[in-house]
Amino acid sequence: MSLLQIKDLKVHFPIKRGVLIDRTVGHVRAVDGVSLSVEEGQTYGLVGESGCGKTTLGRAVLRLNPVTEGEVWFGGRDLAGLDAESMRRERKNLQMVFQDPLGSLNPRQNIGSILMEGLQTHGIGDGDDRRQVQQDRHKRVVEALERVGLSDRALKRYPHEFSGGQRQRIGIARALVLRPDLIICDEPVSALDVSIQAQVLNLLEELQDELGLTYLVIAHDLAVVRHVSDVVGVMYLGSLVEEASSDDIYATPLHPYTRTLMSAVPVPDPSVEDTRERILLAGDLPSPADPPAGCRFHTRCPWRQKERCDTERPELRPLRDAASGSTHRVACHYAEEILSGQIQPSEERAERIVTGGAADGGGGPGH
Amino acid sequence: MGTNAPLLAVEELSVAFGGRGPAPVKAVDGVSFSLEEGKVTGLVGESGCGKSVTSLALMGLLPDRGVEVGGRALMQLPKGPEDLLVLPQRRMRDLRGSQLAMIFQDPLSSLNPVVPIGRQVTEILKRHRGMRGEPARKEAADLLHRVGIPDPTRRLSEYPHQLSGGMRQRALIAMAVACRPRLMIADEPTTALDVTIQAQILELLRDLVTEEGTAMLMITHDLGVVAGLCDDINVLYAGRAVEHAPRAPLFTEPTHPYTVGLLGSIPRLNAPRGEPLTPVRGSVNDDIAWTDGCAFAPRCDHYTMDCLQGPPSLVERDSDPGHVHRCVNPIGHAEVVDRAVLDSPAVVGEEEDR
Amino acid sequence: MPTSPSSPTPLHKRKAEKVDRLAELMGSRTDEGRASGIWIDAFRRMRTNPMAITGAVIVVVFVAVALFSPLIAHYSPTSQAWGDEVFPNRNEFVGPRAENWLGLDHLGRDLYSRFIIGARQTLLVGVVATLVGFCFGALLGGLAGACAVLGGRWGRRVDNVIMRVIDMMLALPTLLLAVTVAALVGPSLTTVMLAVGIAQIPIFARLLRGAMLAQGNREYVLAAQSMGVRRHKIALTHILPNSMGPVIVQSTLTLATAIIDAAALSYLGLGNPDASFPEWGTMLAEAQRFLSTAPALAVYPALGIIITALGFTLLGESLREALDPKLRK
Repeated sequence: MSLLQIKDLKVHFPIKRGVLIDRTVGHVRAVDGVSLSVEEGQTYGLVGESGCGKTTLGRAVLRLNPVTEGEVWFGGRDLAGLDAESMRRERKNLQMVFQDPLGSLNPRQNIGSILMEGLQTHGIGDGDDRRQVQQDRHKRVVEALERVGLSDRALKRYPHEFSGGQRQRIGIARALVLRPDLIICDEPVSALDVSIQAQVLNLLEELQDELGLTYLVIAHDLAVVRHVSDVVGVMYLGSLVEEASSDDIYATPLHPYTRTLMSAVPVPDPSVEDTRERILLAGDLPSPADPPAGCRFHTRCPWRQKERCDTERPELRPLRDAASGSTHRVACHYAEEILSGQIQPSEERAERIVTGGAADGGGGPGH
Repeated sequence: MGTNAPLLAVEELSVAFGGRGPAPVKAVDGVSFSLEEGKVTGLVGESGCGKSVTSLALMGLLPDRGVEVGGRALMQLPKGPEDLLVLPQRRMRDLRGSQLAMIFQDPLSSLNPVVPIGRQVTEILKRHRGMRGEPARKEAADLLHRVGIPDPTRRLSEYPHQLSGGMRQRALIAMAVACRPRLMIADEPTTALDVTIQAQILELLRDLVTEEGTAMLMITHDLGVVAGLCDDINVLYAGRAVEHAPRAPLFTEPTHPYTVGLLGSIPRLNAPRGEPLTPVRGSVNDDIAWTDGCAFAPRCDHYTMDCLQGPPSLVERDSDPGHVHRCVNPIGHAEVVDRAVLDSPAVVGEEEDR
Repeated sequence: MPTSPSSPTPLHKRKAEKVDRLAELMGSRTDEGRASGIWIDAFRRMRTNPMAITGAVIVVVFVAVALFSPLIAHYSPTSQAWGDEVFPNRNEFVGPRAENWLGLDHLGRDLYSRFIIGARQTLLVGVVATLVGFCFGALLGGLAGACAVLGGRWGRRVDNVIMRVIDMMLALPTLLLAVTVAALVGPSLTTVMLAVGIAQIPIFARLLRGAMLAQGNREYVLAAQSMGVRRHKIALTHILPNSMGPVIVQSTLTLATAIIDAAALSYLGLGNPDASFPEWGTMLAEAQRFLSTAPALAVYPALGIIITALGFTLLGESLREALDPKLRK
């Protein structure tokens, strides 16, 4: 049984217009029917570009955004159906790490008070009287701090006195202190310097090994997501287009969007950069308020076919003739044909497709 | 060009801030590199390494007061070489746009929000190329088309906020190349963009360099971008270049521990899963002053007593001229690396007690 | 102490020396004066700002004069000891002299003493009026802001009602509002303070509500929410304290306007009915009759008002600048 199971989740934000009385003139379909499940002790990585709804999805799980439709099963309960107070209590089991390490810490609270707040809110702490409870809480806070590589001397200091990486450690400690079952990491490293990113990623992995945590990692960087995750889900315009194990998604990306995304991620290795295929998409992300009919990606897809793509919305399905037990799922009508090479990307639909090798002069500039 | 001199030769550039304070803060200290036509030179480093200040100094965009700029930046201009750092403001204004152009990280704040894109482009054409009226409009549409903006004539009358992030960056590039500058400085041009859009913009810049022969200075924190685009790379740390090499040797045999650490910090798409990252420990807050020794020593696994004896100088690698590092104990050379170094006083900046 | 690595010292000793040296160098770094709070940070910036220093000097001098006015004033402000030397109807006034530094007014009272005692009245009116505006404004604005942040249908309604009332108040010119209040209650010093204070309420209310709404969108609020902190507690302990900055800055600026408004009300005859009691506005009103013959009588209180208001404005503006996150590094 999965720890977290999301079934057909939809989050639509109303667009309101009007001078005196607000009229709803449409909906932004930020998340439009996503189903996924996160296994205990594993990391599920959600990757996608800005505007694909990945952050909204993460927040909707915690009900920080209203859920329009769908179910969020966590520990045998449907979070989407809970009343506000039960949801509030439930939050001690699901925690979140935010993107902006400074912005997510109250500048007027010292670290001790930031870490203590969750414990106080949920009345956590063992002891017979106030003093003992207080001591127990202090112990838990220091423990969490030490887990992330800080010492109790941080308690009396304020967020702005720390460096970016340390702040993010504090953010992680805040999530840890409640001993949650699931931590949702929303772009945990994208605001950090490269060398600090790696420290934080390593820390997240260490913590998972030591404490058996389950993560839902949300990020725009495919390399980061692939590095930390067991299962990777790729989102495009509010829906999941592909889901596979971290190895499979790299070895055999099936969905055209995953392929383009993969080909766009720069690799710090000149030999790879010079030889690999680059597929450049034409155009921009369509507006989530008015998503294209059929496959959401068909407006930019270099593999687009005349039939089905613009009329029928593909479901997330396992590959036909796949081995049983395969967890690779894709939302494309023609995944098999694309995989076998029957359908080739059309140069007309992409801005440009640069095939690997130096034959076409794509082997780097200045040669 | 009759001579073999590079288009722009920057020598010992230094920028110090805060004239009034007790001691000026040296944001950039003795950075040298050169730019050649049709080539891309990269400046790589993390925040605070001085890469953006370098570009602003070259463009003459630093404030006059409280800033001290030293060194030389010789550029081959049509009328002979001149030092960009000492040119009067008026000459610099003429050069910017016509000879030098800059692309910034945030396209929205670099475009005037209340003026249509078309007018912003034609204004440059008017100022630097004396074009006006219908020809200017046509040229502007042409430029937008060249940078891959679809339906350029319609876009001319649109305002910056009506364009997407990628389109804005393209518009900005169109403005930058409007006068066919010979030198282009791109300061984190793709940092604010999505990966697929980044790929488009990088491809565009690559074309610009190969087709127009523009010299480009690429400033970024992303080693992946550098690997794909730059011919020559300078790695900056705390205001000084710590390693300089052509791109192949830099990535295959990095010698400075910082470069090695940076490369070890990046999760790679093509790496086998489970391969651990080997980050640099600590943060820039742990640095010591360059005058005391190598600023990177507190974060370095290979530092020796020699690293703490005054500022290290740039050394050329024996086996590979053109590969320069600022390190007394470079990786690959130190066979007797004292591995069991200090148990990180600097791991998180306050771990001395542990 | 420096050892070359080739020297035959044992390895562990060399290592220890190396570590010592590094620790020493790291310790000797000139720490860039780590800031320890937004306010201390702001203060540090203000110290080098000539505008802030000018404002602070004016304000300090003014407050000192006002507080110690009975000690500084030479005579009683109401004593007409020199009444037989001044004949306004014959245009005979007494200018500055050793006995009376600023001369005498039209009733033969010492102008210097009246000016000094007047400062105290002015400060009192300014401070009380600002306090009234601050307290009620922050209360209303805080309530509206909290309701808006908490959301829900009722929250939005309460916020709407409060803000429409505030908007109505804001639509009236400050002075007109003050005159209306003063006319309703009758002229007295309390009236002036109340009237000016009430007129300032909408500014404070709007400012606090706006700041709270802005803070409500910050990520740390989301973080608190995700930890399960109750919403009303978030509003009180997270959003409110972080929203007070602009309101506190506004109160220094309000002090300046309050002083001018109070002077204007006194000038219009709505101030302290006891005309013999000095207040800069009242003094100005009295001096108006002799403007052509003895302009000095009007100049002193007018200058007093202008300089004090300027002082508070300079201080307030530079405080705002110092606190502006955009201008901070």
